[in-house]
Amino acid sequence: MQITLPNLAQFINDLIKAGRPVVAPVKENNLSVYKPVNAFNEIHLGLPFPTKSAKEYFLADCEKILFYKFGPAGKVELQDADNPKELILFGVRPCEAVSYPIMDKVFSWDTHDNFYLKRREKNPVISVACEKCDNFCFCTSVGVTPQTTEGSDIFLQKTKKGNYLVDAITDKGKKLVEEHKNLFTQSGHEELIDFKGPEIKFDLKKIKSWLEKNFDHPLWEKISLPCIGCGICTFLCPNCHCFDIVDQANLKEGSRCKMWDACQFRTFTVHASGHNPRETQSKRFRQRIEHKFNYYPDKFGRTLCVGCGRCIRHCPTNMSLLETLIKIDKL
Amino acid sequence: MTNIYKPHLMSITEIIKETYDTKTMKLVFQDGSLAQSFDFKAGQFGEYSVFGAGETTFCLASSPTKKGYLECTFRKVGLVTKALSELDVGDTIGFRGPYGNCFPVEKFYGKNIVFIAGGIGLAPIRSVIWNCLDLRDKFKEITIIYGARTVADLVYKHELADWTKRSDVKLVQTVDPGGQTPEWKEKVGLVPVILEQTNPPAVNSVALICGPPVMIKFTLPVLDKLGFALEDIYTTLENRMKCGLGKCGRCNVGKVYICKEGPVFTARQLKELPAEY
Repeated sequence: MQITLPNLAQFINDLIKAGRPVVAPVKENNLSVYKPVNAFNEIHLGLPFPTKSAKEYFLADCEKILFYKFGPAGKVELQDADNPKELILFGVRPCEAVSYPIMDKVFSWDTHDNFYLKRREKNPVISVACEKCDNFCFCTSVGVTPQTTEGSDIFLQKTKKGNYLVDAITDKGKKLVEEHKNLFTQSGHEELIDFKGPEIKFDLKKIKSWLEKNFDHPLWEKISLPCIGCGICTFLCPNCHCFDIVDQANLKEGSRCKMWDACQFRTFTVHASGHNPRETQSKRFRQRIEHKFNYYPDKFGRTLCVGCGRCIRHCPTNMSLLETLIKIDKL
Repeated sequence: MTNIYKPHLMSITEIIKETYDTKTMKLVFQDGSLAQSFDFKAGQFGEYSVFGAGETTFCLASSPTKKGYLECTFRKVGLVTKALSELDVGDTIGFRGPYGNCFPVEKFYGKNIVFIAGGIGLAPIRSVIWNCLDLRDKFKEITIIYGARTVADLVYKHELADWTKRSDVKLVQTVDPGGQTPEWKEKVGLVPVILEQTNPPAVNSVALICGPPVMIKFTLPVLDKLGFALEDIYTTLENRMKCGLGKCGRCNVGKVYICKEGPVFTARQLKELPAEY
């Protein structure tokens, strides 16, 4: 199947007109941000990459999980949180799309976090194959390519003639296409824009086996010195998912909220006694790398990194996860 | 939509002031059917919440053999525990749980048990102590070594008095040097030292230990010297937690989530973990 650019615009505009919110990258000043759009022409698919990932549309940065009212005589009345509303994510990159099935693992093992999972179930992801990358991209080193379709419900790939090859992958994706089938035509077998992505820069297996053996390596302290523990790497990361649970209330009523948190903060692990198992920034830095490239793969079978490069692009002290991994690879 | 973070409502039915900063609360489920069906195992924990202040993690300090209620013991150290300590009998709190693994009490049948606790670390151990005392015939010698910084820091004083009177339990109480009062008749010395003096039997025995990290650090070599194998030493970790369900990432240490694979570990299992607890 394929779709012309005008028809793709109509597809998105029709969805919006039908009252289905569409979230897509929009250029604001020099940045690109994911936000709800009113029309296709607001959408910006090229570089720069959206600064933040779109994970907040699945794992909300502040998710109300409970409401309550204070009654007389110390009584409390609970009210359920609202069900997440449906939205369509358009124009995400393959590396972001693949981050969702990776994160699904933690939210669905053992018990199910439905705040996240219901959104995953409802919200279709329409991704577009990459045509360009920048110096911070390293998807190919962690097993993702500019044409990875995993995690996408509909996958679009531009042809050299400027049309888009359409791959409706899941039932959710097929349903969307079916609802607007007059806009799609049979594939004309047009030649695709062939983009290989960044070259492979390290050996993931080698990284993991080094991490298994070198928890106490002097490298950790040396390499983490510039880190100021601001945690921006974790907030921008499409796969970092740690959260806090906090209450907010007045004398009458209140709510409980799941909020993003980060292993890079000193207070993240501090015990009630004051003892902190990760009292220095180097230990917190090590946790981020070990968790992504060693612990998570062991527990859930996937590397918790898709090589999007956000943590490098926006680090205020110019620290580079990629350089760290290359350094480890060469040890 | 099932919400795994939604707490059950419980009423506070009794408050015991243990020390100047520590309280024990007796809690009963407001939902009568849950009060009947609720079950847990010694060593498990829960997420307790004060509405408006937040959630916090404590062990279930009562014994699973005592039905119909739960107890938690906490020190006033932070936002939530401060709010909790200001609540009265009849007030409502939230509870999620039980979470985590447990002490394998059935594996201890026919063995000697040595309980070693420091300060408020007696809370999770107390759950197992009562569990074992309520099934007393199933175990051989039971030794309890309990220490606190000062006499004023000892928790469960009324129960310590009960255990002292029992002939089927050997209770050794101690306070850190300088923490004694003129009336103090028990030992003075750090827990590892008192443990060595007490010299409990190590053959066909298990040791359960909970207390501040520094106490555990210096007690493990003593247990080793006494002849306890690493597999026979159990402890419970108190890493900071939020969700209790292996999602929020806070208690991740190495390949485990303390809230799921723990909080109870053997000393052998701890050796496999990075020392981040």
